Amino acid sequence: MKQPVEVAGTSPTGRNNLWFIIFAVFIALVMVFPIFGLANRVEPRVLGMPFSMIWVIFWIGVEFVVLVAFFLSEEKREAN
Amino acid sequence: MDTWVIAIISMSAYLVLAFGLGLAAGRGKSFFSVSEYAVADRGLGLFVMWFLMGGTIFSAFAFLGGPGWAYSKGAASFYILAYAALGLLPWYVVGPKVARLGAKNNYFTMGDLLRHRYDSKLLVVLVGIVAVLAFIQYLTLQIKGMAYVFNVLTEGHIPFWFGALLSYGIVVMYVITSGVRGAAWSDVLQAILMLVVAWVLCVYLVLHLHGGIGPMFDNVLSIKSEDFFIIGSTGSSMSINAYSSAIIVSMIGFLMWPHLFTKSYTTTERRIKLTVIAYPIFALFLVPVLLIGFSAIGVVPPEAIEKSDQVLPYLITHELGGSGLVYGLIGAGALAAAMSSADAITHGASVSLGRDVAVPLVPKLTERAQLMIMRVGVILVGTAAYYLAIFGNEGLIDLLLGAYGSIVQFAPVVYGALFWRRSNRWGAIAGLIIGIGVNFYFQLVADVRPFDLHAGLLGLVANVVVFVAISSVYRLKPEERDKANSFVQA
Repeated sequence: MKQPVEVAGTSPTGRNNLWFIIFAVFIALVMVFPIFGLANRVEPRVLGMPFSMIWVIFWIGVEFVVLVAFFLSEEKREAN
Repeated sequence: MDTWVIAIISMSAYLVLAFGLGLAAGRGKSFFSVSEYAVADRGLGLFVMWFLMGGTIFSAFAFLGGPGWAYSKGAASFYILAYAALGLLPWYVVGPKVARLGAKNNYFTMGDLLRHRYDSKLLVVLVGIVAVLAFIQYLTLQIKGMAYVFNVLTEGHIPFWFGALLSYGIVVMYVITSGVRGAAWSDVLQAILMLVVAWVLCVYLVLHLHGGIGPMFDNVLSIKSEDFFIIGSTGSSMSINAYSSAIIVSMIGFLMWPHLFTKSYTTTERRIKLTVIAYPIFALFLVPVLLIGFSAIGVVPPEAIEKSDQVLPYLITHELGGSGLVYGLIGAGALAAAMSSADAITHGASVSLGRDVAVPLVPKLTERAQLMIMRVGVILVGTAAYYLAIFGNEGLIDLLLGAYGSIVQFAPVVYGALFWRRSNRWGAIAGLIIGIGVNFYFQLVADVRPFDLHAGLLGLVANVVVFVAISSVYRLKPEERDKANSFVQA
């Protein structure tokens, strides 16, 4: 007998997890090559720091904000 | 009073505080419960959880090695930020599921979960041995860090062996009495202390030595070429593939450290998610550590230090005016960084030893006997790591280093158990052995790695191929299929 196959993203939890995974992969991609190659330079300097360093710090900031938003929306959906 | 005496007094004050907090954490909790010792009865709060996970990553490596990397490797040190930012992300999806399975089936370790899912003692013992070897390597580094800090900041008055014995001895004691709660609460103190020390030190050094972040990087650029900040360029210490693959391996491998994975059992699903969300803040807290390293360029002559790890101690002893109180505070911060990692690892190793090695071999152990093995395990693992840190020989260190790099090889087995119905024990065991073998070969034997990729990633590719191939061919028995389904759907 064949088991029913659950495709990721069909249940509410699965859908949330799918979005989370997509976001996590995105954040990882901006920090590694080839995308990180766009930022792999010194100029323009921001706040005195080399551009590549600010790039990493900036995306960590974005990561934090998006994660908070993601969690809040998840809580709200569960409350409904 | 001599500088070094004041330094000893302030570091001792910190040690007493950490010790007291560690012991107090276990008060009023059952001393004879495996669940309490291993996973705090699954009840740790968010505040403690965040510091526990953060303190564990912010180790002697970050505190001493971070500035060393920035000083000697430039842009390659941004790897540390990326690692901290990405390492815990998979936990958001994996953690709640592991917590549910753990509460339902009464797991305390990664081995408990794997044994139940794959029904294989061999697999669990294999994972257990690699983990304990890797733990000892990790611990050896922390103990060396503690000993080094003590030795330098007391101007050599506290010998290497005694500094290590004193600070690590305290860790061993509060782990034995208070279990994971002891590690967690002392981590709160330790994390706060090291973060404050790192930030204050960063601000002071950057302003005092260079007059600001901009002028500091101007100075660095005038001494080093721009290549120092461009990964993969001729003057860079890392190729783009080495940099990228190291980050990817960290992201996949971080949670596979059994002492971190096991934390899924110590709290609720909601707190796991909140800890992941709050974690990038910890990555930002690491920025000053790198700035400290950059501030040393042009200040610390490269020939003045033997290893780049010594940059921070050199700065402290040469640029901070020789105040004993400052020495002591910074020493306490550095000790805190090393101890907050050492306690979680020592605890993790002891639980693994009890649950993943002793229980499979002697299934009828009583709860008290298991606990006794775990507490004796703390002393055994502690003694081994201490011995290696002080007297370690080259060959043994290599073996442990290979185990350290092999942790990421648990990933296919663990993710397979949770998300892939077809995964089975033979695929898991074969994949794991091949992965560890390939990792060892490229880490220790081969001179060149294909495409300059991280040895762990090469092992992981071989591991996944073998794991998937064998699992796909194998026909699951009906009861195996039911069990696999219950894990995937949990």
